[in-house]
Amino acid sequence: MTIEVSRDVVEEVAKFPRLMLYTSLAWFIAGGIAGLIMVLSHLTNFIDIPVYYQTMTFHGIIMVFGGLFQLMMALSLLRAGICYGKPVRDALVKFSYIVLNGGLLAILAAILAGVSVSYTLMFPLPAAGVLKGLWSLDSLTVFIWGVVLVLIVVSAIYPAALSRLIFFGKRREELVLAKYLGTLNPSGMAGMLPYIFILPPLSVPIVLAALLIALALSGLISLQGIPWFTNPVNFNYSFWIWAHNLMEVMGIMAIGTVYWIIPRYSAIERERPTLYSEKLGILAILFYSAAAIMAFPHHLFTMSTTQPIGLSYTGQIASWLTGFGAAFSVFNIAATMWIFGLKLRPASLAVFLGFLLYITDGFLAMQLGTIGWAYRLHGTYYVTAHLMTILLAVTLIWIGAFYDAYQLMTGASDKKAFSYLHILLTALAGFGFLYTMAYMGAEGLPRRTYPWPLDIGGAGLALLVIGTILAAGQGFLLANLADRVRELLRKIKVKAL
Amino acid sequence: MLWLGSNAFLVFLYITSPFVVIYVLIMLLSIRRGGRGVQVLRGRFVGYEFAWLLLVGVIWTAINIVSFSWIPGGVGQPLLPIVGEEQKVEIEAFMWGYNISTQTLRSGIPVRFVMWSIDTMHSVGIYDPDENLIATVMLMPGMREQIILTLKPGTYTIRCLEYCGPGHPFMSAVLEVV
Repeated sequence: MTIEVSRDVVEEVAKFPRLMLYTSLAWFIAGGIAGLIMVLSHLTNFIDIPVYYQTMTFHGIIMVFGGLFQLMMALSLLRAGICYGKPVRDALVKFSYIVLNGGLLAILAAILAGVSVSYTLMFPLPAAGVLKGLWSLDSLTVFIWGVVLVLIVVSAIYPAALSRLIFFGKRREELVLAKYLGTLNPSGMAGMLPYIFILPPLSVPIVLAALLIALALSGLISLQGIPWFTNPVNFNYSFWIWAHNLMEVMGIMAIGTVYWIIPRYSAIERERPTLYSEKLGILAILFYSAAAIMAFPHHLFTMSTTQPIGLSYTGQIASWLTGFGAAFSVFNIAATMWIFGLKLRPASLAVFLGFLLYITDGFLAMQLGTIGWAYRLHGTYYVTAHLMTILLAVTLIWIGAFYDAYQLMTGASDKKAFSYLHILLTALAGFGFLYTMAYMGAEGLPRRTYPWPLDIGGAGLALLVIGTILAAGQGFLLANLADRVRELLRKIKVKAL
Repeated sequence: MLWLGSNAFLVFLYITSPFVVIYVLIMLLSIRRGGRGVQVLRGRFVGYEFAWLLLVGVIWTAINIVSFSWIPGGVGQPLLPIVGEEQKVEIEAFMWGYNISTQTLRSGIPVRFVMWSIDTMHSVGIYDPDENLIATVMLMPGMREQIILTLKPGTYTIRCLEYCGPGHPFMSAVLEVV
């Protein structure tokens, strides 16, 4: 479909999302190179152990927040803007971009100075590392301030920007581009709501803890004055309530994206494309959200054998209930495709494959949420398989949303062959990582170890091949965007002159 | 022994492989059918919907009920008294090693592992003589964890499974069970 809207209108809704999109691609490239270095080092041992762990910390944080989160931020803000007719350029949007990337740069500086605590922080490892002389207090202070900035964007500024676009401000009809670019089906938009309403309140303890620790490290308050926040048990429970629900609300928003993209690519032209059952879609989101909040204790089964067993049971049952909620979506999407047909396009293919990967990985996630299995799998590559796959699945779904808005975002049409290759190779790598790493975990290989203490024949080579496939896929995306990037670089050069 | 990691992987394959194949087939057929499906009666789909949710519900419930018996002894029972001949081994984790109260244990008699960390997050992953991971427990400073296992004879390896700095991959110890 050719879109004919004025350039001014496009700039009002797409300028900042485009900036976020290109920045996320830059982070993805940097994080992806780090990932390739990691898998290559398992085969050749060509980097030192501390450097490996710095690379690992960089890879995790950058791929999750610089890459995926920023990609989601770009496309969700764009979608809210074009569905509700609001310009996407207010202070909250600008702050989201600047503060997030500022925080990531601070984290990058600290990692280069030696801080290597992984993307889950492993509290109290940041402090233990200083005491052990692994990194300096100054570099840790910079790192924690970076974490604070990222946390503030993820937990407050971005959801505020999103809610402002959806609920507040004056609607301008000329900006309502949904009629060209999307659908405003209820379930699709409902997918955004858990992020706005669930995550911010659950983030309060961890944001407060990180902020107070950053202030204490900077000498502005006393570290002894905040014992509750520096207690490892309190910190980790606060962290996992936040981290678990962040992943869940990001997942739910991705499911919401599936809910509007698949109907949009129905074989039958419909004035208002909807799911087979919008009610079932809404029910799935409500069900999933409620279950997801209660599922967080599954991160702590093996963290504490003294955790009340009732809390562990609740975590397990809630984890499986999220899977039951997903079963609603599985049926709804299948029925939508079957009844209304499906047009094969890059957007629909990416979203379908991302959804398939998400659901397949979902079973693995439920296994890890099962107390009996968690006591035999936690801390192994089985967990890495889940994490890598869920992030790749959600990324693939957002890649679908990107291809849907390709023309609006880039001002040009994509080369379909490149787009399909990008999507197929990314999905292939996603499934490859899922099954290979799950096998490695099932064999008991501890994650985050370099060198590996167990010999899992062929694992290193398999990961390198899969990583290369993933990189090749992104190469096709860059080839697709090459003209736009060249133009962007030319503009930067002109400005610099 | 469904609780073993390798069997967990098989369960994963058995459940997800048919799903992936069928779902891709549905997608491909939907592309081929185009808009012909609109003739399908909605009532027919309600039946399928019910059958699908019932199938998922039955599998989910069965796994949950069975899995509760896989939880290792001592979990969720911090005050469980020592009974009979039970053996006790205390493990203190630090960057990057373990202090172990006794490294020789008797087979066939329950062993109570009592574990803690003194500096940062660690874990105790217990590998049996065949290198199967039979239990893993995360250790957070300030907490005292316990788990009860009955072991067969052989050499058991303990490894840290939680990232704890550059010495993490080398953090291990052995236990002899005779």
